[in-house]
Amino acid sequence: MPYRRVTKPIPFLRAFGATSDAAILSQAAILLLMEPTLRRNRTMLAEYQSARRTLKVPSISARGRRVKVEEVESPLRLRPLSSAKEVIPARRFRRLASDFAKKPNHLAAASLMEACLRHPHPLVRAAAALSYFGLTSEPSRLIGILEDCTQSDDDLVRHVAATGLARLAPESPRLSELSRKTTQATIGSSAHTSLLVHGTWAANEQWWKPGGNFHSYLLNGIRPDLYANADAFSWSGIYSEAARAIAATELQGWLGGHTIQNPYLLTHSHGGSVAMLATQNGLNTGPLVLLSCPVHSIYMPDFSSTGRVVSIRVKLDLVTLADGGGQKFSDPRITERVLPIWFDHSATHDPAVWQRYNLRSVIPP
Amino acid sequence: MRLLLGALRLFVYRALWYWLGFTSAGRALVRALGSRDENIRSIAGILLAKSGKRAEPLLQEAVNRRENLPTVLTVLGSIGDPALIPQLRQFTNDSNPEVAKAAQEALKVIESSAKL
Repeated sequence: MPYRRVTKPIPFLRAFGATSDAAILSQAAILLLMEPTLRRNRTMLAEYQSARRTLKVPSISARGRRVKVEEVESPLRLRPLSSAKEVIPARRFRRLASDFAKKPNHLAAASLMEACLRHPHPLVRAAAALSYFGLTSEPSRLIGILEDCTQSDDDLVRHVAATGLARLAPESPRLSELSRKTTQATIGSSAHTSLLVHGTWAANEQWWKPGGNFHSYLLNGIRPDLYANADAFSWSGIYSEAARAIAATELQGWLGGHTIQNPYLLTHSHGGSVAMLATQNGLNTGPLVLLSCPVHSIYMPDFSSTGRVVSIRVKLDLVTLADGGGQKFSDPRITERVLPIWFDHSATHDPAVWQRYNLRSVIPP
Repeated sequence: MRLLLGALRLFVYRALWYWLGFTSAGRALVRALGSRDENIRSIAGILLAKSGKRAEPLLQEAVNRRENLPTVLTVLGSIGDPALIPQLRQFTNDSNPEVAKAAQEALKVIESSAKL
């Protein structure tokens, strides 16, 4: 189920109790930001500090005892998870969130999470199960919720639940079922799997990673088949021919390991060089989209093993200028689209630019 | 226009440092690796990588200060000097996963190039 794009997340107190897409996504994000492992990891804590501030996530100590189930179930008059399915109305979450905001302690956090396990929306249930794992005295109860959520029709729910299972119960039979299903779907279907390949210096950038702004933009409408698991392909981003050659081999290995054939490749900058080099090494691809790709004679696709090749670029790209590459592909087999934008190398992975210039219609279907 | 001026400034820094020996201009180039603008970061990285071993002392200073460390290590990997291998090894188990990954990737590229 595609969600409406959230331009402004809803902070803690207002999110719980509301039922819009933005509220549901914000609730899930808040619960995940409360996850104990994340709170204990200083590096991760620093990385998510700004998100925590934006969403006004109450702070509780990273250490502390596990909260017994009866301490929260009885006062909240919740039925045990093992009994008939119970769904709690939205207004109760608001009250629990308000209690937690007033007294941010482990018991209040556990009360909110325990209630969220009975939330009407599976995304919130999955996020609560993942986050509550390190806080409840009976974490094994939560595996069933995550396993149940992996059956959802909603991609996001499935991914959150499967990621949680992989971390908390890697032996779960649901995980092997899921990976079998993915493999069968890939082999049995003629549809492409799309892949985003970043360029130089970009290995640590967020925009191309699952959850990043450009990745999410492509996934939610342009290329719903875009690879979105956490182990998305990445390469060193080192600026050298040797690094690109290694990356081309790694790309082939990665695709082989994921049994993805004829991928639809969307590449940025020298990520395009990596992809073209891989085709020279024997990789068969579907369509190849080159975004702001510097032109070097040693990096050309093997046209016999690629689908349509489209290059999208800006005028006088300054990074390409520094790179010393050419700005324009002269081979007529590469369709060029030059945007009415000057200098900006990163503009071609900006969702706003894609929307404004309807680049969806430029890339092959 | 701001991007154009920022990029031009980098080319001037590079010329002042590389051709005329102004170390402060070189340091400004290294600092630009931490720019908020992806274009500026990329151009600074390319200009430093293209300067080869001449850039190593400047990058060494940044390493000692842990300034923009993942990107600085990636630039060192781009320069590809095998003499950097022992230093890169020190960062392969760094507590910052981005630093450790950047060092591992740089080592992989330098070592495989050295074998050829």
